[in-house]
Amino acid sequence: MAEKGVRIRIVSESVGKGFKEANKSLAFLKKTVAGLGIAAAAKAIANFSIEAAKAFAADEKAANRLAMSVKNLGLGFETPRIERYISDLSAMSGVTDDQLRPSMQKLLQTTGSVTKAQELLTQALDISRGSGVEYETVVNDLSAAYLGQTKGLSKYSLGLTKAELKTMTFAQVQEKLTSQFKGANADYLETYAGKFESITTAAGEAQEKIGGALLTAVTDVFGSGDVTILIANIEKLSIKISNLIDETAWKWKKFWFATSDRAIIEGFNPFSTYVEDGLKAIDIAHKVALASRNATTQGYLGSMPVGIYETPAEKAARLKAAADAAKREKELAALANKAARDKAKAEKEALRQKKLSKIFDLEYIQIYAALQGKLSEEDRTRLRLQLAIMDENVDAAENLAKKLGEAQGQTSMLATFLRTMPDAKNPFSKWGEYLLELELDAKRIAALQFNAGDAGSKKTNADQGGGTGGAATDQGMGGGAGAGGQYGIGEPKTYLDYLALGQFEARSSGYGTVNITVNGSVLTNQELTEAIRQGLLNASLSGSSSTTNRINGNFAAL
Amino acid sequence: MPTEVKGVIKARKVLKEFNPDLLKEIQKEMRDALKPIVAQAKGFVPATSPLRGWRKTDNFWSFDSAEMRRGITYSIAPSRANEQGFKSLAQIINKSPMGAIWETARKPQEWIGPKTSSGKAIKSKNKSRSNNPDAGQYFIAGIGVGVMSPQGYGRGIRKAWARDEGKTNAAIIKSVEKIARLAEGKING
Repeated sequence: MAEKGVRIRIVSESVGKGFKEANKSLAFLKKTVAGLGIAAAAKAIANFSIEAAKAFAADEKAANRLAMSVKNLGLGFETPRIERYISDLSAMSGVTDDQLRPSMQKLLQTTGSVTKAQELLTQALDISRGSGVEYETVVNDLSAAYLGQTKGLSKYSLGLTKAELKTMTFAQVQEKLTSQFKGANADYLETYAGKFESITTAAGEAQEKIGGALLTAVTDVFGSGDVTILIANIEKLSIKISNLIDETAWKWKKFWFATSDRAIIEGFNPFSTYVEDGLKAIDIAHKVALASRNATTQGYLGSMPVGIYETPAEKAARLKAAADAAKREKELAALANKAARDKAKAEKEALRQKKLSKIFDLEYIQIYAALQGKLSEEDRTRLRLQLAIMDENVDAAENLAKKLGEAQGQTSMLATFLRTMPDAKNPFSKWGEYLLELELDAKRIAALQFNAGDAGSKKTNADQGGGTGGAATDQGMGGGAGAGGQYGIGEPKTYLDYLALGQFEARSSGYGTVNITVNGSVLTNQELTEAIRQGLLNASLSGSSSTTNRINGNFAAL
Repeated sequence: MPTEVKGVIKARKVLKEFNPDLLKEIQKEMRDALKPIVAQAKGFVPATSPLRGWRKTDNFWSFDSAEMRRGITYSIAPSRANEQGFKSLAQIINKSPMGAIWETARKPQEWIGPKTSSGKAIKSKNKSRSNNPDAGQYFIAGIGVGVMSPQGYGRGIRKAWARDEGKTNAAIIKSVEKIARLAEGKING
């Protein structure tokens, strides 16, 4: 083919003119073969055969690994049942046995029970289809959850918190998963993608089984029709092709034997049975190989059931394995509960220690001390809130904070109210008027002429030794009209009126005579004065107050 | 005409087997020699279309300056043998279709007129089917005059090769000789 574009060749080397001819021939040959499609088909067949052989080898390796694992668990007799189960599940679900075998192995090792492992294997399909998580990841998460590690379950959006998952048993977790993802696999297989995956898986299994079929031809021949029929037909065809190959191989072996040098030489001997014996031996070997390949692992061999009904020993072993698995599950649940109880106990102990340590905590001491004192409700709430925060008591802290907020709100409302309250009335606003009135009264009083009136007498005993005075009459301080005195225009109403009078005779007449009886003897003027003074004092103490004033240099008579 | 050598491809294989690092160094020298001439050739590509109706479309012959620049490159790997049986060890390439047309257009094709609906159609390979009989000449005149180089007439890589005046050629040959010498030393011990 000519090179494209414009080129400047700087250094060139001749590879000979003959090459050109050969090149031409080869190009012609390639063109011809490509036209017939032979080379491409042969290449495709060769590639397919290699890939198929590789796939078969890998599949056999995985199968052996699972069988060994099952045997180590003491469940070797379950191997044919397990293989059959995996095969059916693969055909049904579209998941390859390459994925199912390692998953089964893992679940068997975790649970120790074939029944439980099968149950989880099937459930993992639904979970995988429903959540979109890879099948192997789901199996790993289920295995971990069986042992109490629920961290991986959070990706399935079960609506449970981490704390809740930790406290749940595996049975509860399984129930939750079932309720959420049940039927997801069946729904998926109804979709186009699911059907395609089923065909691909079935074709892959066929590729493994026969190791050499032409997949394209099979798909073209059986492409129309129901998917399940196609899968079943692929299974049947793969068996037929594998039998054909088997037949051909053994026939070739016979042919090779019959055309060997020795067989030819022995053929000339009429008495020699070398060739017949040899061919018979090949036939027998073929039958043995065929029987071994097609051996019924589960079903009926003639009328004899094989692998369907378990022997009593197998049944006992299976029941024992199931019982062991159940026991193990209970032990795990008990361990989980114990761990939860220990944790709760430790938390309680830690809380108690924390409470005890509060006794020596200065901050707590100060707060408690402050609470003992007289505080406003708001301050008390504030301190209690501080305590709740230090104790990490969220609920109490929230309530107290709310209460404090309300109080602060009320305080602020009060402050706002006070701020907006109208100005209080000035209590001294009327004082000006009062003083003016007082002044007028004083002037009036100064202009008044009071007349003396009869006054009631009042006797009192003055005892130098401490005599008591008589009780003052009601008129002592009050109005003097009842005393019989007339004071002229404007009767004195208040004490000031009387004070303003300055005429003690009228006043005294208003009050009456004070008699002083001196017990004992009065020898000197001083003694008399003292006796009078004492008498007046006693009278005052008894309620009859008196005042003494000087008028014109003389003491007024009382 | 390219410089013809003998046994260099084999020498290159020997050197690659025994001392690949040394071969890489020599190849780096060859690249350094070719890069400037390639850059110069890219510079000759017009940034805008020299013709009014020659714009970028989906057709391979449409003008696309960036595409034409991208198509100008070099190679230091042994090429496939051409019809004459020659393999190149170093080459400068203008591989875009429009780039090749623009590089080499020199003589207009014979004009035979547009296809008609009646009658047997005349084969139009290498013939002009334009409505304009002078379309070819206008095209060549519009894209500009090229330069004659030892490797042919051109406007891009051949123009750059011509202006290079053999300096790159000499550098490449020097590198190839180095390969041959070193390989010979390896072979002969």
